Amino acid sequence: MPLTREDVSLGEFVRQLALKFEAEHIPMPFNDDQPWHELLYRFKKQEGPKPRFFDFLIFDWTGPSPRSRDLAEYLNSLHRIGCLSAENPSFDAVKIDPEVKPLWQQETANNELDQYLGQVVIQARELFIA
Amino acid sequence: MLLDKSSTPKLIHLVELFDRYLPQRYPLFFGKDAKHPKHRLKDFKVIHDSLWGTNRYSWIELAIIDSPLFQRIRYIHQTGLAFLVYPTAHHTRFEHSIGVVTLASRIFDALFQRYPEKFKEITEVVYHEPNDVPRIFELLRAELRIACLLHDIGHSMHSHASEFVYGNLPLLVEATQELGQFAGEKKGAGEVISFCVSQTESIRELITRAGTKVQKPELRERQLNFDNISLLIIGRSFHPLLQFMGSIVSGPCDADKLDYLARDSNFAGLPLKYDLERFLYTIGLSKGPIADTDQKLTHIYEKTKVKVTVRKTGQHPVLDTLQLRPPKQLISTIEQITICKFMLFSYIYHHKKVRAAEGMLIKLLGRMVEIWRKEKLDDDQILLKFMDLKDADLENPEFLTNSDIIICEYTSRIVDRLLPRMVFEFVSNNRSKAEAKLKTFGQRLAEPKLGPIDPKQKTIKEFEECLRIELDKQLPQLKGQNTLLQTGVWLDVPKAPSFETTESLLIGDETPLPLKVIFPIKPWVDGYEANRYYIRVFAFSEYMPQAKIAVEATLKTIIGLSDDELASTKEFFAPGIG
Repeated sequence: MPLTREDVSLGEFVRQLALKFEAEHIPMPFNDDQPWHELLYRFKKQEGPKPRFFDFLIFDWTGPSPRSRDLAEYLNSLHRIGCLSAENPSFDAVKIDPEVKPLWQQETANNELDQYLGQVVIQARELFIA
Repeated sequence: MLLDKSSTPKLIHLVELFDRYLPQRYPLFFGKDAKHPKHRLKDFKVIHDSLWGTNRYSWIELAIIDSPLFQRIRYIHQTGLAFLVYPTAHHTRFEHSIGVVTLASRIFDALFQRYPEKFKEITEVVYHEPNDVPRIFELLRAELRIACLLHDIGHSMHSHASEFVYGNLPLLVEATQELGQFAGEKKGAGEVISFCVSQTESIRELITRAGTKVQKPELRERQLNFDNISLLIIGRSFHPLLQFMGSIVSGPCDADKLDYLARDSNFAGLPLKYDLERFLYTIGLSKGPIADTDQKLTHIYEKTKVKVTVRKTGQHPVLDTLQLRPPKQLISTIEQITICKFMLFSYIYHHKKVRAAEGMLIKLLGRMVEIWRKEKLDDDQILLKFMDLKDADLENPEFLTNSDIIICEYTSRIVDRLLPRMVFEFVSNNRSKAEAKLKTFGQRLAEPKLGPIDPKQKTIKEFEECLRIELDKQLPQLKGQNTLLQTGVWLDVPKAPSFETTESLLIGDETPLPLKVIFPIKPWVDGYEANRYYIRVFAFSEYMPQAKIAVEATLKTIIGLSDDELASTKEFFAPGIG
């Protein structure tokens, strides 16, 4: 069953995004993951239909920018588990493990979600590359 | 009032619930018939702590400490069932809570000594009493210490194991979400209880009544700000200049962490240390902005009637706050604290047998909740059941001789330490032919719970359902009788330690930078965990052969392992079974 915009989970959303980022050669920040938080915060605040998980995604206001602990921990876990790998010594950016990538590609998004992800990718290009 | 019915209805509901419960449960201490404290109170008493030595506790603190609400945590182990593995880990939430009071005071005192001008500013700006620094210092110190005393007051039987169960009650799921939105920071179920208890009239009245029994009248004159006490528990404060106090109670380098790291390792007998003296000598205080785009903080300060100015600068509007600020010289100590934390996870919290014991307790309490539900108890009543439970209640008839065979069996097994055994375990860095598929499975198990959406539990249920079907094939005599519970088979996925707040900790005074920019803590910790973080399947020893066959079949069905890939996982199974 393809993933839908309403029911996609945070993890599925991040994995779909990561695949799109790699396809479009957008580097995925890791050690300084703040652009990820800015990106998802923007889409949480956006009007209109969006994935349901955004309603429950809490952003912490403890520093100069919003941070979601759930998002940070999930990104960390993808690295810890080895689905995302970083190059020493800077760990600035991560890539999807080549052996894991085909397994991620088995998860597919329906049209509605795919279009939504497309909008996210456009904003990510601005945030991640800056 | 900090809370209101429109934005925090569940939190208000809990405060009201506890205000009904406390006088009913402890009528001598709370409510209109309360008699305690009966006698004149000494200004202070001393309590000796094996870690932090002999310390004074004021009459206000003693009024709380001597109440049965606080005394009950004397009977709740700090590290749950870890004493089944580390025989000396018998320390309790009681010792930990008074230890946190001591450490928080030491941090506060150290800051006062080094930053007298900042405290003068606080007395001027916050209290408009520039010449009364000593009195304001004492007042804030008292509020800080009470917040520390109450920070773990919501704990129930064996600490986090029961928190996991009551935290899944729909009432608590909603209340936790509300508190996260209110505080502008994600919070846990235990914090919800502590916060709500601190908001009750019952606690205020206890302290007010105790004030009438104190020997020195001037000590009564202190007007404690109870809202500030509640806010400190959740890492906030009633004024932006007091934000550092919230961080002392609940923050990246809080007194809670400093105490449990030292206490858990000490009582388990593990040689882990960090340099507390250097921490106290170096920890700093400086102005720093907190973004408030969502106006969470502004909302809090509206409730506390503090006028704040939001500065429009950079990407987000910010509020200027006074924050704890570790200087660069403190990085080595923060490294020590980080090492201590993940070593404790490796040694104690994620130890195979500790996980086995706590997993059983979670199953047991989950089953108990099912029984209470059948008896038509609602979430309020179930939560209050948990508020009553202490560790020793496991040996009460309600558990040990319950008419439900699963409750009886699990209770006896925990009490007699007849723990399940590991059937299968893997780490992500496993070098097998199944590695990529196991990683993909692991990534599904790492997904966070967001409100009612819980992909991790969904994946666990899917895996366990397959295990059940396979076990039913081999053990037809158990079919339809809760095969998984009867055989003690489950998939264990521990919560990985989080270093999120530590990574984001700003270091340095002039141009502060997040710790992770100065020192790459994330890959350092992740690299370690890739080899130490285990996902396991457990089973009662008498069902190990059947469980092994069930796991093999489930790995093929759910994770999609081929025969060749499965064969490469041979060493992940416990030796000598089947």
